Amino acid sequence: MLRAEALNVNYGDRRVLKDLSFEVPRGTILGVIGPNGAGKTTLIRALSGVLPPVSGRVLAAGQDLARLKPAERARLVAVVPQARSLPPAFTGWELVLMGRTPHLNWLGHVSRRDEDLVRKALERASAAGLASRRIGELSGGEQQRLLLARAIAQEAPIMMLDEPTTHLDLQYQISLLDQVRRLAREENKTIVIALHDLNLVARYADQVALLVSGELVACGAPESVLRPEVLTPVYRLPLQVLHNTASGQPVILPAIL
Amino acid sequence: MKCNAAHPFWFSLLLLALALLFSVAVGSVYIPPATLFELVRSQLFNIELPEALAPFATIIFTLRLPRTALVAITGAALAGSGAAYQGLFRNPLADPYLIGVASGAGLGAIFSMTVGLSSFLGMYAIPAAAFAGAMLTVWIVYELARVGRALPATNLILAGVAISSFATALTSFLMISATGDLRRALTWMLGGSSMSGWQPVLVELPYVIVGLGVLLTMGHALNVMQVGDEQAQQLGLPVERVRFAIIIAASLATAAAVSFTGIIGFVGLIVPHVVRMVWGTDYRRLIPLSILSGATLLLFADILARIVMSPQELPVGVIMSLGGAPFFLWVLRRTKNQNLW
Amino acid sequence: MKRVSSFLAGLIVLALSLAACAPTSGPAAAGPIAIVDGTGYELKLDAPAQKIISLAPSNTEYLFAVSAGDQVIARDDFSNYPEDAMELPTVGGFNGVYNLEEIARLQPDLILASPLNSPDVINSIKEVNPNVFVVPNPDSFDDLYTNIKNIGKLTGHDDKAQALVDEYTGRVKTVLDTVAKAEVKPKVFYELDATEPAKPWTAGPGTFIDLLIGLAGGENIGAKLEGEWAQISQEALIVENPDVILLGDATYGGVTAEQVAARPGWDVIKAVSTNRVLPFNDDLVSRPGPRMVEGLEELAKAIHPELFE
Repeated sequence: MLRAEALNVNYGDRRVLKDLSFEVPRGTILGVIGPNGAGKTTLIRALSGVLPPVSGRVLAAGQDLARLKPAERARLVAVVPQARSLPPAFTGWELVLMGRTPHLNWLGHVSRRDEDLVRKALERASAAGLASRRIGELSGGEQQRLLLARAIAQEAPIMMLDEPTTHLDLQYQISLLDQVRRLAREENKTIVIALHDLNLVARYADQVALLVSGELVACGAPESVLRPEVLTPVYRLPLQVLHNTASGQPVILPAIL
Repeated sequence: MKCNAAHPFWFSLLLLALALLFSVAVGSVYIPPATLFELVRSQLFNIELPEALAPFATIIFTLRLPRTALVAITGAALAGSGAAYQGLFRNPLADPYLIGVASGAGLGAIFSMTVGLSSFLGMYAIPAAAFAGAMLTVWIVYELARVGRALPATNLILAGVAISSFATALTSFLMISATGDLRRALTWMLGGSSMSGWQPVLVELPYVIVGLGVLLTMGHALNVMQVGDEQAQQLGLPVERVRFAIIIAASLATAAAVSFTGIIGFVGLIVPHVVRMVWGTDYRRLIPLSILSGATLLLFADILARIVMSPQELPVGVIMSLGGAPFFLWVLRRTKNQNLW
Repeated sequence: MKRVSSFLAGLIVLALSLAACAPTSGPAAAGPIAIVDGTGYELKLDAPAQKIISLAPSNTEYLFAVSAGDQVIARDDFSNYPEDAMELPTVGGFNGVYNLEEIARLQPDLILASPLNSPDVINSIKEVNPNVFVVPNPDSFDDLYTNIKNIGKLTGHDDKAQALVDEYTGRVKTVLDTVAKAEVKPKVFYELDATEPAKPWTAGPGTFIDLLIGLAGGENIGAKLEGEWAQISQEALIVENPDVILLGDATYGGVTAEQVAARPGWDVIKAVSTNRVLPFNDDLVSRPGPRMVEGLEELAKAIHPELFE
């Protein structure tokens, strides 16, 4: 569903993503991990079409993203960015309504169906109570939930999330990622999440991509990527991987010295 | 919030209608309401006017009506453009003159006065030169600011400020060296409209209609732009094209307005703020409401300009500046704790 | 357009009322009047004007000089001579803006404008009333006489106008003859504005003041500068060393000879050290009207006091 082919991206003259190739099948979640500055946010920008590649391409549902118009791209790919400098005077409702932009006509006419979708999106993101509140009054976590609702309202088959759990309390981290997994399983959405927390990745990702200095150092099933031999040199910290006896999922912790 | 949707527009229209009515009925010469009624009746039903009313007919139909139309159009253009720029640049201090329209128009007008273009083009020389100067300046700013096909907002503002300063300096230089028409130049810059009759209205109207028409369709786009270029693009907005369209449209409307009535400040800055205070930040409403309210505000300012020191007539720009600054301070005090953006 | 037709209707009514009213003051000249004004526009009147608005102080002076004062119904803000003119209502002029509504209401049959009014203003006044006559600035005394005669024709005072011209011609000739006997040609500095004493403003070459100073037997220092209004540096002024300084800014600026003497560095100038710094009524030489003759006489007396004992 989403495929990157030999993707090379620059900032000016500096190469920040080197020769990336991977594929994310429909209905699965790709977790992107890596130390700060590895290029996770850059990757999301490139995959959403905002940062055109120097060479290589991004195929979404078989279409080259660089060749599409912004509205066509937005109908394919929805992004949940980090909650930063959102316009404080807008209400939650108005923010989520923006997700309908690629589906509105040139006059911006909002139909009954658009409003229904917005309402449903708010519910799914556990943000229904935030609809009439002003963004300036909300916490980072509340804003993050609204941004998820916005992406849901966009009705795009591919969704990308950039560190969506940063401001959230634990219960909201879990509920948001549960929601995202449901989007993948029930609605067959293709999901890419950049995450810091290795254990959340272990819990939710179907595939893991490890990005270091713009290069794809490892990509595959969580068990194959989330191993001490792979992770320790990257994070420069001795790590051990245990296994959750109940679910079998890996649990990554600093190694006991 | 939906139930309030109808009210702002009717209220603004009502206020505008009142302003239009007052602007025609009031002036330095007192015309009793009965006479006004007579005049309107004779106009509508083609009745002969009694001889004594002839001068009043001239006053109403040749002087006040076209002037009212001109002032209303100017106010609408300035306020609509101001609202659009404030949304485009996400900056509460943006006004329609941000990227050089005013300084360019001033330079064009003073240049034509200095060089004596009026001898070739007649009385349209100055407005035409002002318009040309304004659009030329915007074009220069645009070329300086763009990076490939992208048009970063910061570049626009920086280039706009730089070019504006340069144009203003050139204008001052011209004004100093050509001492003859200095008074005329000053009168133009202060916003005094010395052209009367329907001609200026007919010339200015198409540009303003086109410009404001485009801006009216940009309400939703401007809303989306508030989350920033990157997110707006991810939401499917062709950001560069939207920016380009808004700049051209706003510049057209503002340049046309400024060419005939000089540089009138504060309208483009204050009106969107007040509308935002009362009716919120949704640009789909902000733009049309600003257009209506801008016309209303400038009409009232013009009425004041005509009667406050009657029979003397103050330039509208002076009234706006005198009233604008304290008003702005009041707005600042009231909204300090609110989030208006 | 409806507006045009209503305007035309108003104009027809105006013309009819003109024909209906017989002129009540001044001898009526027979037949229509047609004169070309300073912008090349030919103004046509059926009879001498009886309701005149003056838009410049010089025009007001012309009108009262040819005895047409009773026919003037309004003036501009700056007209202040003669005394009788001050009683007239004003129609603006302060910042170049005239009250068109008042002008429309007063229904004048003649509006006397001047080059002081910009073309835009004149055009907008013509929208309200087409009988606008722009009186050109005279470049010589002959031009002055032409203006006087034209205004005499427009107001039905041809005889008085001619009498004035004859009188002025005589007075000018007297001055010129007297001045011809002078042995020296004193250097004259005519001060228009010295808010910045280091760079005072004076009349440049080609201006009427320049012409008058020459006719009055003086040499205008300002003639060496460029432009109508010109600034001279204090140093250049000291080098020129004028014999006489005339304070045009005494009229509206209240500048006195004592103030001039007190200006740092001015005491070396001959005119200051010999006490020949004189206040001068600027209206006499800056206003392009009939009092220029008096201006010439006053200038001659100030420059050559010895000839006019």
